[in-house]
Amino acid sequence: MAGERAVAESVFELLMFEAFRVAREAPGGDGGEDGASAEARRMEVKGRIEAMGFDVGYRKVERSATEKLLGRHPLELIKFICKDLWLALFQKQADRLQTNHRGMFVLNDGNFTWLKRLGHRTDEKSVAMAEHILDFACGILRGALTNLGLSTAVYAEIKELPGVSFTVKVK
Amino acid sequence: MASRSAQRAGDVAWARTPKVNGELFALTYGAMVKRLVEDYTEIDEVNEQLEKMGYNIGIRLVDEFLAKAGLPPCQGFQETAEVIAKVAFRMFLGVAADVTSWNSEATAFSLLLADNPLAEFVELPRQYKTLCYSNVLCGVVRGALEMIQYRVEVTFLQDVLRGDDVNELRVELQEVLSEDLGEQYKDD
Repeated sequence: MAGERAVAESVFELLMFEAFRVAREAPGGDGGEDGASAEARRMEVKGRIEAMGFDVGYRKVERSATEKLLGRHPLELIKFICKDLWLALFQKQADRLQTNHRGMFVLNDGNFTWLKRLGHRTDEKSVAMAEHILDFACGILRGALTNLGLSTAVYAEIKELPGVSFTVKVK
Repeated sequence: MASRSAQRAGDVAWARTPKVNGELFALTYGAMVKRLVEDYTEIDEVNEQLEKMGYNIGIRLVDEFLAKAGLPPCQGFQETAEVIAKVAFRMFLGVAADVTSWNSEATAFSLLLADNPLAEFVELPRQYKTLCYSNVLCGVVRGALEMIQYRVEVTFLQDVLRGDDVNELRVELQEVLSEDLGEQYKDD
């Protein structure tokens, strides 16, 4: 991956949390008290965070390998994600990749770096934070794959903290 | 603490710090600025939001700094400035800043940052020429200094993204806070 410059992990995390706060506090939604609009608000926040992730992922792969990867088989692109992109984002590779060879891939990471700080906390705030982190990560994966020529839907599921599995469905 | 030993302390702290990819950091910041520009119609409001965000980050970074930098407490504002530039900037952003342009009362100085990790690969389109893209840095310095009892105002005097040769943050001391006066101090 291009760009050998680094910054402190703590600064990145604080920035990421501030980005989530920006998404939550954005003007426009009126955040009513009843359940329906609270849910709509939650989905709106989720969408914003995912969109920010998309921008990051799309641009992250721009300077690396895009040319030699365009047009390649989805499995090769996903493998690139599991190795190169994972390494750049999470300082490790994904642990396991499964596929049904019909456009569905499951990327497993038994020790997801970005959830490390949350430990095994299950309070409301930590759960919300975990969700934001995963929405952001899914956006990044989707953005990266889009720039590599693959249109997908990506969602994540916490297996057993801090393990996460990302499901990628090729459209 | 002399500038050279501050530099050494900064290098040591940086070597020990867990790090992430700088591009990821810059892109995340960029995605967020883009989001703010879409949410707020006035660029001035975006600049304000960026500063506020920096403040939130700065007040939290101080704890980590005090715990990890392993330095004795600073003796006065001038030493504080050197430590911010040579140790804090270095250990968090990977690049040290230079302290220059002290005023005669020693209550204001500039931080020169030759290299801005936030602005990597960024180009400001013309309609955003009033956007202070890296204003978050001003907030970080303000928040951090407030935690060590210095109330300051930080502004971006020169910005490479707006055509200047260097990035210059101007730090102006407003008030030295005392723990006793905590209740009377109002956040603006």
